[in-house]
This record gives sequence, C-alpha cells and structure tokens, in this order.
Amino acid sequence: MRRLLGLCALLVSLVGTAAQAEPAAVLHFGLLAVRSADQVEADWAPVLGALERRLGVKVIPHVSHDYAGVVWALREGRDQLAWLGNLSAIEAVDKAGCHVFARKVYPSGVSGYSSLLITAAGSKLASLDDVFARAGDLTYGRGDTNSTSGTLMPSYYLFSARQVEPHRIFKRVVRASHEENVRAVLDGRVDVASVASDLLDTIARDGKGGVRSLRVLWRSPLIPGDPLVWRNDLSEGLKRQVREFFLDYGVESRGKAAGRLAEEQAHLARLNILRFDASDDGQLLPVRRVELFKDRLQIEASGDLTAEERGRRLDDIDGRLAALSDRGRQ
Amino acid sequence: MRHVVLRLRRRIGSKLLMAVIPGMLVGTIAMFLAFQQYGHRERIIELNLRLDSFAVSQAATLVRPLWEFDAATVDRAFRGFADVPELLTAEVRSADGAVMAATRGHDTADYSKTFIREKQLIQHSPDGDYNVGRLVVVFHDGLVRREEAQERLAALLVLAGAFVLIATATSLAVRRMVALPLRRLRDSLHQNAAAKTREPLVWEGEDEVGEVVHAYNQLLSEIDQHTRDIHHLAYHDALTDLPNQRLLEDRLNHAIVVAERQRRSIALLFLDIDNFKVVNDTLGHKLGDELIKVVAQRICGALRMMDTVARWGGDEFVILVESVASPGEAASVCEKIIEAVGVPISLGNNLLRIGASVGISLYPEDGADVTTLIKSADLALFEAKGRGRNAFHFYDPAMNTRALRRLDVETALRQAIQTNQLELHYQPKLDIASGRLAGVEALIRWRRPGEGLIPPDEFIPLAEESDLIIAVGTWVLRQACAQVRRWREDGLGDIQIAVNMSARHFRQAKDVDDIIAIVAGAGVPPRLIEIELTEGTVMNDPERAPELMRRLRDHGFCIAIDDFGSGYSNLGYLRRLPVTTLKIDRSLVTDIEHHDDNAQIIRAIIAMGAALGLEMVAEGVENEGQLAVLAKFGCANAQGFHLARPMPLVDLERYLLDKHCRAASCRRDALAPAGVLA
Repeated sequence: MRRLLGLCALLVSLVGTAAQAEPAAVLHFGLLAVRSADQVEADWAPVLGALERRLGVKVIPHVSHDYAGVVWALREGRDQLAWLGNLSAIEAVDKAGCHVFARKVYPSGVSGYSSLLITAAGSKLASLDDVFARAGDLTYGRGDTNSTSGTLMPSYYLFSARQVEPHRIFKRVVRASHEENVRAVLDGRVDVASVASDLLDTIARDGKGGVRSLRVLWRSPLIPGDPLVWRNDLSEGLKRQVREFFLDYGVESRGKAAGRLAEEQAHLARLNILRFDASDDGQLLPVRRVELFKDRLQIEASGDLTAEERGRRLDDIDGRLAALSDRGRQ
Repeated sequence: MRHVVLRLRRRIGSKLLMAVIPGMLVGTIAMFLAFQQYGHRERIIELNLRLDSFAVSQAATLVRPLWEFDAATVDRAFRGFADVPELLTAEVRSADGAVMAATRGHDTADYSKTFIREKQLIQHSPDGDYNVGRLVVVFHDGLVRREEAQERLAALLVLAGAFVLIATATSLAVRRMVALPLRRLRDSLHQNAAAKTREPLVWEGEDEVGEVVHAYNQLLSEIDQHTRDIHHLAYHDALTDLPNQRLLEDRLNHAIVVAERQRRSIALLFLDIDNFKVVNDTLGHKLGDELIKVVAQRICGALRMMDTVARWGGDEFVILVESVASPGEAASVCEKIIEAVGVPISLGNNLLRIGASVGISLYPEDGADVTTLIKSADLALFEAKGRGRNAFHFYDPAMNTRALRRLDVETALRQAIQTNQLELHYQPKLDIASGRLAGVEALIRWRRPGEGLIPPDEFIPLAEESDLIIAVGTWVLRQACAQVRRWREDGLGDIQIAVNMSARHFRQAKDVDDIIAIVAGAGVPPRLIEIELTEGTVMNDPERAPELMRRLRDHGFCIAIDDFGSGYSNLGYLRRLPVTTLKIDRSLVTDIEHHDDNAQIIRAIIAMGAALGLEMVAEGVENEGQLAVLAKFGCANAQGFHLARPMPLVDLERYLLDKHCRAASCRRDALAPAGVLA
C-alpha cells in the first residue's frame, strides 16, 4: 500500500514536472497594432531579435488589431509575452493568467502618458464646453474598447463625470485605432477624437501627417506607462532572463559596448520608449480604480436597473474599490 | 314539460337532429382537436425557429463584447434577454466552464417543456479562431401554452357558434324539406279521414316527398274509385247491373215522399218469369243467368228512362213507375213489358219463348209505405200466376185475405199431420167386364175442427209449394200400407191401393228409397201399392224420372200415369217408361159419347196401351153410356161416380163386404157387370 502510494506520488510529480518543464522552443510576443501592423512589427523587430539571441529561443512577434486579440492570445497560451496598454493589461492579469513585469518609460523620462481629446487646428471648437454644447452636431472618434487612453479615460473623466454617454450625445460615434483617429481628425472625418498622448509624439517624430494642425482640447491625468506582461506559467528561468533583458535594454550597464547601447537606444527611440522599468500588477491600480469609478457612475446613471440591483452592484463595486485601496497600501 | 319533450321526440325533424347532432358534435370535436394538435406543432416549430434565431443573433452580438471583455455590454444584453417572454434561462460560460453571464426570464410561469440551444461563440481573427464562450439559451413553452389557451377559447367559441348555426340551418332545412311536407300530408290525411273526403294535396316539389304526395293522391283517387265501386256493388245487382232491393227501397221511399207532396200516383210492378225454374233446371244455371240478363234488358228497353228497374232476386224484378196518371197507364206499361219479354229468345242452341207474370200495386191506394207496396205487388203477382201465366193483375184487398188464409192453412196443415186430422177416402176401381174390384185409389181429406171436411184441391196445391207435400205424401203412403196389410189380415184378400205422388216428392233417389223402405217396413208386397204420377211429374225431369220409376218397378211397385191425355202425352217417350198402368183423363172420357174425336183418341190410347201391355183405367166415368163405349173399345177398368164415389174406410169396407156377399150369393149377377154396377 505504501509502495502504491509512493508510485502514485512519483507519477504525479513526474506529470507535474513534465508540464512545468515544457521546453519553450518558441516564444510568441503579442503586440498591438497601434499603428499599422507592418510598422509595429518592423519597429519591434530589432528588440525582439535581440531578445531571441539573448534567450536562445525563437521569438515570433504577433500583432493584433485590437487589445482583446492580444489578451485572448495570452489567455489561450498562443502568446507568452506581450506589450499592452494598462486597461488591456488588467484583462490579461484578471482573465489570461498574466503578470506585469515591466513598463515603458517615456523618452522625456516621465513614467506615464495621458489621454487627449483632440480636434483639428482649424476647428471652431475652442474648449470642452464647446464640444459638449455642440455634441449633437459632432462626430466623435473613440479608441478600442480596451484602450486606456482611447476609451477608458475619456469615459470616466469626460462622460461619466458629466453623467452622459457618448453615443447618446454625439451625432455619431466611431471606433478606430489611435493612428486612424488622428488621421480621421486631420481629414475632417471626425470632429473630435480621444487618443494617447505618446502616440502623437511618435507620429510627430516620424514626421507623418500634420500633427501640428491638431489642437488638444483636453488632457487627462497621467496614466502609467504601457506594461509588459508574461504568462505566469513561463518558467522562472525564462522569466528571469526576460526581465533582465528588458531592464538592461537601452540602459548603460557593465560590459555593454557604447556602440551597442546607442543601437539599443535608437531601436527604443523608434518605439518612442526611453527604457523599461521594472513593474508589477500594482501599476494597474489607478486604472482599475478609474474603471470601477466609471462603472459606478454608469450604474448610478443607468435607468434600467432596479433600485435593489443597483444597490447590489454599487456595493459590489465599492467592495472592489476598498480591496484596491488595501492593495495600494500594501 | 314531459308532454313537450315527448312531442319533440316524436317529431321527425327532432329525430333527424338527434341523429345528426352527435355526428356533427363528434366531427366538430375531432376537427377542433386536430387543429389544436396541428396548431400546437406549428407553434412549437415556430418557437424552435425563434429560439434558433435568438440564439444565432445573440451569439453574433455577444461575441464582440465577450471578446473585448465588455462586461457592461454583455450585462446590458443579458438584462435585455430577461424580457424575452419565452426565455427560461440564458447563460454564457467560458471555455473552462465558468459562468460569465446568466439571466433568467421574467416570465417563467406555467410551462411544461423546455427547449435548449447551445452556441459556441467564436471570434475570428487573422491568427486563428478564439472560442470566447458558449451561449446556452433555454426557452420554455409557457407563452405558447397561454396563447393556445386563449386561442382554444376563441376556437371553442367559434366552433360552438358554427355548431349552433349549422344545427339551426339543418333544423330549418329538415323542417322545410321534410317535416313541413310530412305535416301537411298528415293533416291532409286526418282531414280526409275525418271529413271522409278525398281532397288531393296540391304539391309542387319534385323530390321524394313530391313522389310520396303524388302516390298519396293516386291512392286517394283509387280509394275514391273503390268506394264508388263498393257503393255501386252494394246498391246494384252483379248479374244485371240493375239496382238491387236496397236501392229500390231507397228510390221507392224517395218516390213516395215526392208523390205525397205532389199528390201523384206510383205504380209498383212485381215481375216474375214464368217457369224460370224449368229453364234453369233444363238448360243449366249459366243459360239461366243469360236469360235473366236478356229479360232485364228487355224490361229496361220497354220503360222510360226515369223509371227504376230492380232485380229483386232469382227471376223476380220490381219496376218502379213514378207519376202514373191512372191504373190504365200502369196496365199499358205491363202489357209493353210482357210483350217485350214474350219475344222468342235465342239462347245457346235453343229458341225459347217465355212468359212473365206481373203483379201491380199502386200508391197510395194499395199501400203508403215501401213494405206494404211491395207486399201488395207480390200478392198481386201471386194472383196473376194463379190465374194463368203471362198476365198481369192488380192488387185488391181480397188478395190479402186469401193470402192470409193460405198462410193459415199451411200452418194448420202442418199441425193436422201431427194431430191426425187427415184421413184417407177410397174410390174403388172396377173391372168393366166382370164388375169385380180391381183396386182402390186413396184420396186424402182434411177434417178440420170447426170447418168440416176440406177438399184436397184447397190445400194440396198449397202444400206443393213447399216440402210440406212430402210429409203429406209420406203420411198417405203409410196409411195406405197399413190399410193393405189390415185387409189381408182381415181376410179381405189382396186389395191394391193407388197413391198419388206429387212431383216434389219424386225428385231424387232418396225419395224413392224412402218409399221403398216404408212399404217394406209395413210388410206389404209392393205390387199392392200403385204409385200414381202425372204426366207433368214425369216430363219435369225427363232424364231422371225414368230411372227413379225403374227402381220402383224393380222392387215390384206398380206405376200409373195419371191424367193421361190431358197434356202433350208423348207416346214415344211413354214407351221407354216402366209404366204398368195408364189412367185416361176424365176430360177425354166426359165427351166420349158425343165427340167422335175424343172417342177415337181414347180408342187409339187403349189400342196403344194394349199393344204396350199396359193396364188401362178410364177415369171420371159418370154414366152407363160412357161405360158402354169404354167396354166396347176394350178398356179393362173404370173409375168414376157412376161406379163408386170416394168413400171413407167404413163405407168402403161395407161396400166390399156387400160386394163380396153378392158375388158369393148371386154368381150369375157377377157375370153381368152392367147390372151389378147399376
């Protein structure tokens, strides 16, 4: 009996180690097509090439057209690593078994970015008040549902705070990527759009389009820099190597040749990144809070819920907010 | 109430409805159930289609928010699901089975079946498909059931309405097409039965009812015809198609009423064909009937249209002549009739000449009512017959008296036989040559208390009208036999007695048997009994009579033909008859001295009788001269007042003794008969 139990234990341990020690022959790196997919892949190719060389494992970029694509790829195990926005990182953490391990530092050295409401420079819209006053005549371009700066920030700060919903007040609401939205504003296809501030910088740096012909009507509070996430089931060794690679990349370090450093920095600059700082899931707390507040406001504003249901949901959100505060203090 | 129900149950319309309604009810219910079942299937199919469509469309809308982790949209969608009336539950589970969203329909009361659909929610992406969850939708049939319940109610109402409509329509149709016509037919029947009318029913329909009505009308007319036929038969004679007694009495009644008011006279003629019985017996009933018809036609032909000729029965007719001015007019009518009937009639191979006798009674003289008038005419007819036939006679009150007397005599005679009021007288019959007694003829007499002796011609004809004559004849025969026997016992020797036999007593074998039996029973030799028959009796039944006579003869009886020479004596025929004696009629004997013709006839008869070996007796010898002639002609025997009158037994016996004595003492005298007889 004892021997039988021992045999069972051995079998279980063997199966367990077999699952864990899966040789990562290939790593898929999830990327979001904030710009065109080819562009994004081209921009990231040097960095991922370096990672491949460092790990000795084939790293294949996987560009999705929406945040959800990245999250679902992580969730299904198709991707093991990904660079995401804050909001999509929350989904990746909550639903795809990922953790944040690093985040982008902006070229200016700031650790975050903002959401902007932009309009064409020649627009008659001078202020936010103008926008809300004439919303019925305007077309609004918003970002991906899981975009922090394109959707969540304006939802919370611009609309929920005013207890309005975009699709109710605007003549038309369209959804597109940041770059698309910028182009739409420039082309006059939309009157106003919400985009990420760093993207504007990138576009401006690439010298594409007339970014100068844009005017910022509103700027959101700072959003932490876009995080890098990995799947938790990645082997610890790999995790360590990956973290070391990104934290070291574009940074002066012992034994790194000046030429190589410059090269790395040039590669990051193309991505509008200064360097990567270590980070964890905690960086998502402010965004989570914004999201919960936004939900809370929406629930309070919604007319189709019973008082009881509304109370229950508000209690639920309040509980989750309280839990976030506790995590923030830790 | 009970009465009404029974009435309804009896009506044909109600009966038809009772038969039709259950069928309709069953049909309606079956239809209802079938539609119900069909409707239910349709609804379930539709429900499944809605479920499919719901699942597909919701799966399509849910993929994106689930892909994008858009909980708010998913939540909003699910909150919307709850309002779908057929929804029981809806939920989305992730690939690992966790419930991502779920809701339960608001309206989940009263369902019995559930229908489930599952949809994998697939997000297509350039790098492959992602299974973002599984939508499970469960519908229930609560709404379908409620709708069905409502529809069932509506359908039931419609069906009930339709049922009532159809039942009403059927009822009306049955009423109009069957019940109403039948009721009219029934009413017509009742009316015709009550009023005894034969009103046909006017009807235009060509259907079966029309045919029935047509048949009914035809039946009515046939009944009508039959009734008329029966009426005709009841009041008419089948043979001649003349009115019968009933109709005659009816018409006579009516005529009397009219005559009384108008103070006119009526003549009633009672006609009877003479000797019809002979014709009937001789030629047969068939030709007898023919004769009646011919006579009926002739009577009718001789009369005015307005007069009524009725057949009274047999060969009797009654003629009602209205409005006669005088008895003479009635008499001339009679003459016309008698003349018409008297024309020879060709019947079969025979040419007949017949006569008719008529009795006439007149209203109001001879009777004031039907019965009396007819009786009077009948009496007058009787009188006419009595006075010789082929004549008519008016009624007179004396006839009535005579008739009453006839009736009286008949009754009394019957009694007389039983109370020995009858007695026999005997007339001796002598041998002309020797003057000896050759025999006696028995002659009947009626000694009626209070009236004295009644001669036979006053009651025998009367007795001959009925079977009374047979009783009389039998009585005579018995008396004669007893007398013959007594004489033999008294030592007077064998004296033959001649007995007259009526035609009515000599018709069948039984009569002859009875005669033979009586004589044998008396212990008398039949040769001592001589049966006397008239020529008429023999000629009445020329076939039968010889045979009956032969039987008598075979038994030893002597047979005499009485009154020979008074009728159409057929000598040839006589030859074939087993006759022993001929009695020459007194009418021939009476003039024998003065009429040479008669003498020659008698001489011829006697010669013929001698040639045939017959005993001869001359009747009605009243004087010596006659006797001498007869003796000269060779007639053996004679009978008559000159020789001896009919006498009672006592006188006869004295006569016989006297004669016996004289014969014994004066033998010489016996040799001279003339002297003896003188």
